Amino acid sequence: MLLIQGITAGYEKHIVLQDVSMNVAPGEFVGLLGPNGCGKTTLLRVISGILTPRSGQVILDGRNILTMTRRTWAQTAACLMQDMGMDTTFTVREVALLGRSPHLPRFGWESHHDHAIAQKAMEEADIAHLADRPVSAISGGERQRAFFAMCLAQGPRLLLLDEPVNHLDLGHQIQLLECVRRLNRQNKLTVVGVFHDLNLASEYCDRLLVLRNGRIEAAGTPGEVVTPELIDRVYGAKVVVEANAVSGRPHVVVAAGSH
Amino acid sequence: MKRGWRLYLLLIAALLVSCAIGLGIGAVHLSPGDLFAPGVGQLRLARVLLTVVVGAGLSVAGVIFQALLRNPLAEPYVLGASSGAGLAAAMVILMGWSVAGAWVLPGGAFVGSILTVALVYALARGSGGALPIHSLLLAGVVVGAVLSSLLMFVVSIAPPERVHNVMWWLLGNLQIFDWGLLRAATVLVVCGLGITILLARDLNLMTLGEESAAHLGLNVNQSRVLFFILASLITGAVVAAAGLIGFVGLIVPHSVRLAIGPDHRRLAPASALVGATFLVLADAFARTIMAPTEIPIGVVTACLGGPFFLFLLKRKRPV
Repeated sequence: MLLIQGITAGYEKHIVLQDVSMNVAPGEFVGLLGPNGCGKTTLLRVISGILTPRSGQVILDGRNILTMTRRTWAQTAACLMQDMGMDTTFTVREVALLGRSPHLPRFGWESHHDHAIAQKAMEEADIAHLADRPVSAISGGERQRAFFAMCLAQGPRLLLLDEPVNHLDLGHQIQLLECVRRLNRQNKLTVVGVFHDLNLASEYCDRLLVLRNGRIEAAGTPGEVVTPELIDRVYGAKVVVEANAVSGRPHVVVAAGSH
Repeated sequence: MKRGWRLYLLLIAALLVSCAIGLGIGAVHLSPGDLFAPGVGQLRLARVLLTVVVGAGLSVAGVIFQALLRNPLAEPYVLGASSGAGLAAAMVILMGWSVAGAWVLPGGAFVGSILTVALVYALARGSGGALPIHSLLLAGVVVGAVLSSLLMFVVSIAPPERVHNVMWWLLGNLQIFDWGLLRAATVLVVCGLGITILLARDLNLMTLGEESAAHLGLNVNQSRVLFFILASLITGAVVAAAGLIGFVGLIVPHSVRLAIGPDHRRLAPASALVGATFLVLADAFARTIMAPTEIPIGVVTACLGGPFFLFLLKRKRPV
């Protein structure tokens, strides 16, 4: 689905990513981890085609993204970022319909078909009951679900998440990630997400990639990657890793005074 | 009625009524037949036509700037674009280039407008990617003030028979004596408006932010340049023909947005119609309230728009 080969990328003077390669299979749920400034978000921007890498290439669905138009990219992939659209008075339905943009004719309006897709997306994101409310007038969690509906209405096969649950309370975090997971399982939606929270990443992702100083430090299943040694090496934090009593996945525990 | 044809019919009717009022009242009483006869009648017809073009143009330029800069307070006057256009236009006249044709003046004003917008944008953007709301306004107001004083300087050293007086430039004037200039301004504003309406969906995406717009398939760099050119073209045409008239591009789009929502496919055409109606009525008011003395139109729009601006600044209503 997504092939990243030897990406080196950065802004003006400094290099942020150095020779990063990864391969995401269709239907996979991959998490990107790492401390602040390690290049996670930069990698997503490279995959999005917003930042052109200095070397290396991104192959999305068999095509180099540099040869794609923005429109073609947006017909294949969608991206949910944090704190989207705080300053817009579009209603939830209008936001969901914006997701149809890459599929509409240049000067056209949305058809009944597009409205039906947007409606279904709102239902999947569990936000249809607020369809006619402006997104500026609903809670942060609801707003994120409205923009999630927009991403779903794009009909993507690859969903990128850029710390989508930051600034949301725990209930809303889980609600959104459960929804992503359901689509990942049922519709074989491929997901690549940047995560801040190690435990959420460990619970929801099939595979984790840990970046450090712009290079891949570790990659593998949560069980392989989330270890006290790695967390100490990458984040400089001494933690205890236990097994989640329900899922059996690694769970990071912080113990005060143990340093 | 999804696309609101009924709304447009209503707005067109309102515009026609306001034009009838604008044509009917004034210092001299006129019968409908006089409007096409040379003299006062024809001048008043030209005035109302120009007012329609200017009102529509300023409103649409406001709509574009607000979407592009994601700032409900952006409009040609506040951003300094009008002052830049005015300075460039005054210099074109001073150099004697404007005799080359009716298009030279709006063309020069367009260049002044787009250079000013580029400067304000660069100043406000600074090093980070985001465009902070207050630094944008501050940069616009300061650049606008500097360019306005340069405009006053240019006008003051110019031979009076060649350039309009300072009052004309700084407070606007809707009386037009040059049909060629009226025609050029009309063509430019109509074309700018038409292209904006055709591409209005892209403005919707821009209001989500540049990165989100790119994720939704918009070629952001290309769109941004195109819309800056469109807004500057409209601003240049309007300023070349009528001087600096502030706040129309602020009051009108905001009121229309409150009434019909932020979808630019409706917002752009509706704002053009409402803006034309608003300015025709404001001009009729300015001409008659102290007749035979005429209040400069810029005074009327600033007295309405200034408080409106402060109100919005306090509330920080989203786009």
